[in-house]
Amino acid sequence: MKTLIIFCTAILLPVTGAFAQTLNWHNIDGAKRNVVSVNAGWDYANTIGLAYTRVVMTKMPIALSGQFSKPAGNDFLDDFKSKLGGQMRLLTSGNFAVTASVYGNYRQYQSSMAKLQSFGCELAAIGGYYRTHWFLAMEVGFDKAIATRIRGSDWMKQNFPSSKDGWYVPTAGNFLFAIQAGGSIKNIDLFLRAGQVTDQNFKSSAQVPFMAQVGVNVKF
Amino acid sequence: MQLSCEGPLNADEPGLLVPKTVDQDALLPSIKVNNTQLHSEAFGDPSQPMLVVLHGGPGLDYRPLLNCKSFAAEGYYVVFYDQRGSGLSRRESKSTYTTGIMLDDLDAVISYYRSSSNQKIFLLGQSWGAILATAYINQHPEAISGVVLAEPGGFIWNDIKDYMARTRKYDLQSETLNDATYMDQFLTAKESEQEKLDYKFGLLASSDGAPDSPLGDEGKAPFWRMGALVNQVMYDLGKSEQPDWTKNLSAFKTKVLFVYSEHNKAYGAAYAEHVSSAYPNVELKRIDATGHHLMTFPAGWSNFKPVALEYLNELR
Repeated sequence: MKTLIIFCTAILLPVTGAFAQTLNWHNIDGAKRNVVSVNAGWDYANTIGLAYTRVVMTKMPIALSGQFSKPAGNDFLDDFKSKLGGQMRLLTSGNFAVTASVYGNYRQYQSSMAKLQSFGCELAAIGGYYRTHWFLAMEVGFDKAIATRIRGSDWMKQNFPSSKDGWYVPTAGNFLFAIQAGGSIKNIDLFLRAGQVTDQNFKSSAQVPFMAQVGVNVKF
Repeated sequence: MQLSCEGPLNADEPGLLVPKTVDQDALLPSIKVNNTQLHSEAFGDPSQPMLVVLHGGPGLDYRPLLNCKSFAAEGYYVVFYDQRGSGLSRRESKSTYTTGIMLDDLDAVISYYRSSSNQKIFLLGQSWGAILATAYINQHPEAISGVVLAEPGGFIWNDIKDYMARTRKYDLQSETLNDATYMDQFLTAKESEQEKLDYKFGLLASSDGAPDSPLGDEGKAPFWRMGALVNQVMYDLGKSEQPDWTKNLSAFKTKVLFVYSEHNKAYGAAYAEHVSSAYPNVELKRIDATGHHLMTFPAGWSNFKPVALEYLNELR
């Protein structure tokens, strides 16, 4: 666990202030290095999200990203997820490319029973076939809730007075196995991302054991 | 956000997120029967007719049914217990949970508290507890002097499955739906991490008390601990065994009091009539101003108690 925290911290510190998203690496060029994305779908709930990415054209291009998403519901911003990190193209061979991404995340969940605030880390490897106007890729990811602050609501305190508020570590780990696909017209990408979510023990799944996301990237 | 100097906590440590069970806290009242340890209490004169209260779930506990204690003042020996692996009863391994052993446990609880062989035994079951009562009567129709059933999901698997689906009907845009599903990225647990599983199940079950829940409750019903593992196993057994607990109910000629609530949108008069028709002799009553937990909140309780008491007194 310590290794994971150190690894995530080491990678994230240099990219603070940046963002990332589902990208077609083949049509990113030096002239349009900014990408704004909106997306909607199912990510542990019915969510909408917004992201900004800045591409840094080094020898191995890096996309630094920030993302914010929130689920539907009447209580505004009681639940949300924010991510900060980046992805890097590691290998290319013709139209094939492999990228790796690392995000740190901070998320919050609140219900009438409790408020949970969590710091975590998401690691993913994405490999696929990229053309100028379309791409198809596979993604394997792991999302770890490293430390979660659990606070019981007033109702919970009444129901179980000796319940203990505090930081609990670690509290969750989920794998994602997904496909990504997209098409591009001029400076706009449309993308789809869908896959299965299973917990780190491979024995149980989320209540809705899949994620699906559609989105639009605008490059400028 | 406040940062604490205290060290990190382990969600699977007993007593932090869910209360300790009877094997972890010797101060809790318990009985040892049928190779398990059950959280249990009894109130009233042990020589009076016994009223065994069966809670819902599977996996919940008798805390929301504590209003039934007042039947002790009406001349009944009121027995409560948290079923195997549920509430404050001892957790057991996955393989020990079966409907058969739940029925054996009920048998053992009755024997434990019974003061004489001619003592009359009444059952009062809520939701899953009413299903368990029916399964027991289906097995031992001669052993029970009367039964009060409150909104059992059904006595055959397809009815139960359909009813459960109706109780979980939430709008895709609703806060209640995301309260139920969004937590999966914050909490995951192995089968052996039962405290964590129970805490998560408790968070999930809080949606039952939400204003948009079809169950129509006045609020969230109190509970001690939601037994996640026993709930999951019993549900899986239901799917695989497709139980039918009605086959021998025709042998139970005693009148049954079957009650349903005014506000539970997933139940209603037609469904109550359908489910209760498995018994040959039924008194069907609607309890007004309440939802599924009709014995928990003040309005439901004040409407339910006189109906139940009249029925019990008729048969005692």
